[in-house]
Amino acid sequence: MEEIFDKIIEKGFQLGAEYVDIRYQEVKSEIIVSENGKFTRYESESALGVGITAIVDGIPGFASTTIINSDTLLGVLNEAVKIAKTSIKLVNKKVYAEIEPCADKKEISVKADPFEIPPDEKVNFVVDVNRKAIVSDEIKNVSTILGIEEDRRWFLSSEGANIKTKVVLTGLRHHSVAQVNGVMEQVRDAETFVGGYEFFKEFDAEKFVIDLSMLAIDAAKAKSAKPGTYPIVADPDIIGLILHEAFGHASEGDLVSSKESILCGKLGEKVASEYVTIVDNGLVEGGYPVWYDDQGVRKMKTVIVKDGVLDGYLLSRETASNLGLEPTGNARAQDFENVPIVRQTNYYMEPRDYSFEELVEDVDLGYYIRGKGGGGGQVDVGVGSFVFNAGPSYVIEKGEVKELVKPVSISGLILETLKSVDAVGKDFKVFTSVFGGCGKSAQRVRVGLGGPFVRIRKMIIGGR
Amino acid sequence: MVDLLEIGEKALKFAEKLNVSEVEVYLVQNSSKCCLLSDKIDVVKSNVASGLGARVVIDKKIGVYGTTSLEENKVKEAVEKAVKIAVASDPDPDFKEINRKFSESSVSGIYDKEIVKMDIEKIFDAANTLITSAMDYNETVRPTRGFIETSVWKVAICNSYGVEAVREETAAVTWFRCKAKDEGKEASAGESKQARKWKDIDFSEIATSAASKAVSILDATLIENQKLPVIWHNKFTASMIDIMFGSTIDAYSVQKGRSPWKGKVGQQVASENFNLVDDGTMDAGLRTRPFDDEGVATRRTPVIEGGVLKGFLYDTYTANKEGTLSTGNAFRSYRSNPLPAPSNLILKPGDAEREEIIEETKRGLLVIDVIGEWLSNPISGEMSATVVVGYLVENGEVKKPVKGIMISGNFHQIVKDGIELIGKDVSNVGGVYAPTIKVSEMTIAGKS
Repeated sequence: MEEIFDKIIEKGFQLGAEYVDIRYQEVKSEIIVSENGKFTRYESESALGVGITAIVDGIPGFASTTIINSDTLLGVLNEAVKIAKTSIKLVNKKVYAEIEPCADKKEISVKADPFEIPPDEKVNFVVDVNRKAIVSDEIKNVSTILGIEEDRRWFLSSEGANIKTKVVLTGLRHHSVAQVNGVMEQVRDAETFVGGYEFFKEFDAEKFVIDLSMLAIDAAKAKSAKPGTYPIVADPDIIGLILHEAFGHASEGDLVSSKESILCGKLGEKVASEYVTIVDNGLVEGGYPVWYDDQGVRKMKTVIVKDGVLDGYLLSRETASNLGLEPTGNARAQDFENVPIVRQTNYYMEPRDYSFEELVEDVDLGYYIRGKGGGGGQVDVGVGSFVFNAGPSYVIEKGEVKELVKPVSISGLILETLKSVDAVGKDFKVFTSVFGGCGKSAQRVRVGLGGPFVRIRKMIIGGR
Repeated sequence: MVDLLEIGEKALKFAEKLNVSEVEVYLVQNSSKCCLLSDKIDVVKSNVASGLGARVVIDKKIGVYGTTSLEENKVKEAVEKAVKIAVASDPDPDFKEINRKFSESSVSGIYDKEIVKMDIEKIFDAANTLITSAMDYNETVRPTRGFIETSVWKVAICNSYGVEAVREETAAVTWFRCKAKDEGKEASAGESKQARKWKDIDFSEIATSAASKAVSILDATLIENQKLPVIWHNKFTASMIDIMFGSTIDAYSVQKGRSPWKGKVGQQVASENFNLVDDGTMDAGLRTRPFDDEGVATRRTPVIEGGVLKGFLYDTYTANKEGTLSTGNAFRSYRSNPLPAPSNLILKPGDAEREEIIEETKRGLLVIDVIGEWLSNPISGEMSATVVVGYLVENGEVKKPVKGIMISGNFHQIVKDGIELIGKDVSNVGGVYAPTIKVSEMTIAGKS
C-alpha cells in the first residue's frame, strides 16, 4: 500500500501540486445493548477509506473514497487537484506554518483485543450487568451499553511525514429510571477505558450500575434545589464540561482568527482568577491519546491559561500562520472523509493544593455540583454565556456536604465564572468516552475532559 | 459507479452456504460535493462513499454487520460477522420474517440530472452568490459560516426471497449564516434550504433572507413576562411537528410504549382543522422513494384526519408483530436494522395568507427562528424554545424585534384547542412540510 501512496504523491507533483497528503483510516466499532434484563441490540461495523489533500499555489483541494485501488486513488488525487486549481481565483491563499515532518508509529497497548472476545461472551456480560441494576420495584427502566472502538490512522505527506497510530477504547454506559411515589427521575453515566477488554477485570461494572440505580431512587425522593446565585464546589465532570464547551471552543484558533471568539485579542490579559491554569494536552492519563494531529503535527501540552492569564490558542498549520504563532497540533478530522479543523484534544484545568474538605469548609450556604447523571446544555461562544444540566447534587451548609437535591441546571458567563474561582483542589481526573465526542462543523471527534474539584464563588443555580 | 446488485447477490449466495434461515443485503453508494465557506470560500471536498449491510436471521435470531468496503473478502467477512452476531443473540419471538415480496410506487422529482452532472465551478458560483448577496444587502453584513452540498446516491436491496431492487436519488442542501454589526451592536442569523433539485435553491434569496434577518434584529430587546398569541413561521412549525411526531407515530415507538399516542387511534387528539399525513410518494419530497429500505412500496398514510388519530407508520417487523401490513416506512443505514420512521410528514395547509394572519393579530409575537426547541418533551408535549429571530406584532403590523425570550406551552394542548389559523405557505425542514400557524396563547418568559 505504501508504494501506491508514494506513487500518488509523486503523481500529485506531476499534476502541479506543491503539497499532497494522504490520510488512510480503518475504524471498527461495536455496540451491544441490554434493556430491562434482556438482550436488545448488537451493532457492529467497519469503515475504511482514504482522503487526499492537494495544495496548488497555496489553495487546497480535498477528495475521498471508500473504494481503494490504484485507479480509484488516482481518480481521487485528480479530483483534489482539480478542486484546488478551480478554486484558485476564488479562495484566499492559505499558508501552512512550517513544521518538522515526523516518521513515527504509536499505539496504545491492548492486552485483550475486545473485537476478538466471542460475541456471546460480550452479550452475556452486558445482559448480566444490566439485570443487576434492577435493585427494587422502584426501578422502572434500565439500559446498559457496551461500546468498543478501534481507530487506525496513517498519515503520509509529500514533506516526508509517515505516521501510524492506533487507539482502542472500551466502555460501558448505563441509564437507570426510578419512580418513587409517582415522581420519576433518571440518571446516566459512562466509563471508558483507553485499552481493551482487560478493562472489565479491574472495573466493577456491577457496582457501577447498582450505584446509578440507587442514585436515581435517591434523586426521585430528593427535593429540588432553591434557584439563586450561590458559591459552589464543582466536581471534575462538570468542570470538564464547562471548560470544554464554554472556554475551550473560544480558544480554538479558527474562531479567534474569524473574530467570533470572546478570547480574540486577549493574549496576555487576565481572563480568570490567579488559581486557574488551563491546558490542552495530547497525552494524559484517562484522556484520549493524540500523539499527532491530522496534519501530522506533533501534539504537545499547550498552555491556554497560565495563573489566570491567557497564554495561547489551539492552532492548525493555517491558523498558526494566520495569527503568526506556532502550530499546536490541534488540526483534527472526524475521519478520512473530512478536512481537519481546529479541535481540542484533552482540555482541562491543572490541579492545585486544596483537599475536597478544605474546599467545602469555607462555604456557608451553597451546592456541591456533580456532573454524573447530567448532560446537555447550550453555549453562545460569542458572548460566553452557558447553561448546563448537571446531575443530582448536594447542599453545602456551614462547611459540610448535606442532603441530595434533584438534578440542577447551572448558568453564567464564562469569564466571570472563571474569575470567581477562589480555590482549586488537588484531586484530579480526566476522562474520555467511546459513546460520544465533541461536535463542530458537522464533524465529531473524541476528546478528553476533566480537571480537579473547583470552588466557584458565584454560579446561577436553577431547577430542572 | 459499481454494480451494487452484483455485489449484493454474491453476498446472498455466500450467506446461503452458511445455513442461515433468511438473509437480506442492503447496499448504498453516495457521491457528494461540498463547499465550506466563511466570509470567503474555505475549502471544497468531494467524497465517494459506499456501504454494505448484511442482515441474517437464524431461528429468529438476528445479526447485522455493516462495512464501507465492497471488496469481495470484506463482504464475505461482513456476512460471517453478521452470522456470528446472530448466533450470539437471543431469539426475538416477535420476529416473523423479512419482506417476502417486492413492490414499488411511481414517484417523480427525486432524481436531478443537473446534480448528477454537477461540476465544481457551478458550486463555486453558488457560493459566491451567497457571499456577495449577503455583502450587497448592506454594509453592516458579513457572512460568517455556511456550506453547499450536493449528493447523488444509489440504494440496492436484495434478499433470500428474490427481492431485488435499485433506486437512485439526489439532493442539494445549503446552510448559511451571517453577522450584522452596527454602532457596537451585533446580531447573527441564518437561513437554510434542502431540495431534491439544484434549481429549487435560490442562493441569492437564501443569503438575502439571512442578511435581512440579522439586520432586522440589531435592535432586539428583552420584553416583559406575559402571555401572548404566537405566530409560528412555517419552518418553526415544521421543526416542532418533527420533534413532537417524528419519533412518536412510528409503530416501533408505540409498541415499545414510548409514544403518547399509544391506544389513542380513533380518538380526537387535535382540532378539526388539523390534518397530518405521511406521504412517501409526494412529488419531489425530500424523503420520497418508490420503495422503502426493505423493498416495500411507499404510500400515503393519514396520521391525523380532522383531528382524529388514524394510525401509525410500519415497517415489516412492526407490521408482522400486529398482524397488519407495512406502510412502506422502513428506514435504515447500511450498518443498522431497519426501523419505521416518517417519510414526508405533511401538515395540511389552510387558506390564510401569512400577511392576513399578521393583520388579524392585535398584539402577539411572530417567531421566525429559535434555538433549544429540541429540548422539548415529545412524551408530555411540554415545549419550550428560545427565540433568536422574532418580532412583536401590534395592531396587525410587525414591529420591534425581541431577543433572549423563551416561549413555552404544551404542544398536545395547542393542537387540541390552540391553533387559531393555518396558513397556506408551506416550507420544509428535512422531510417535514408545514405552513405558518397562529397559536392563541403561549407563555413568554423575558424580564420579570
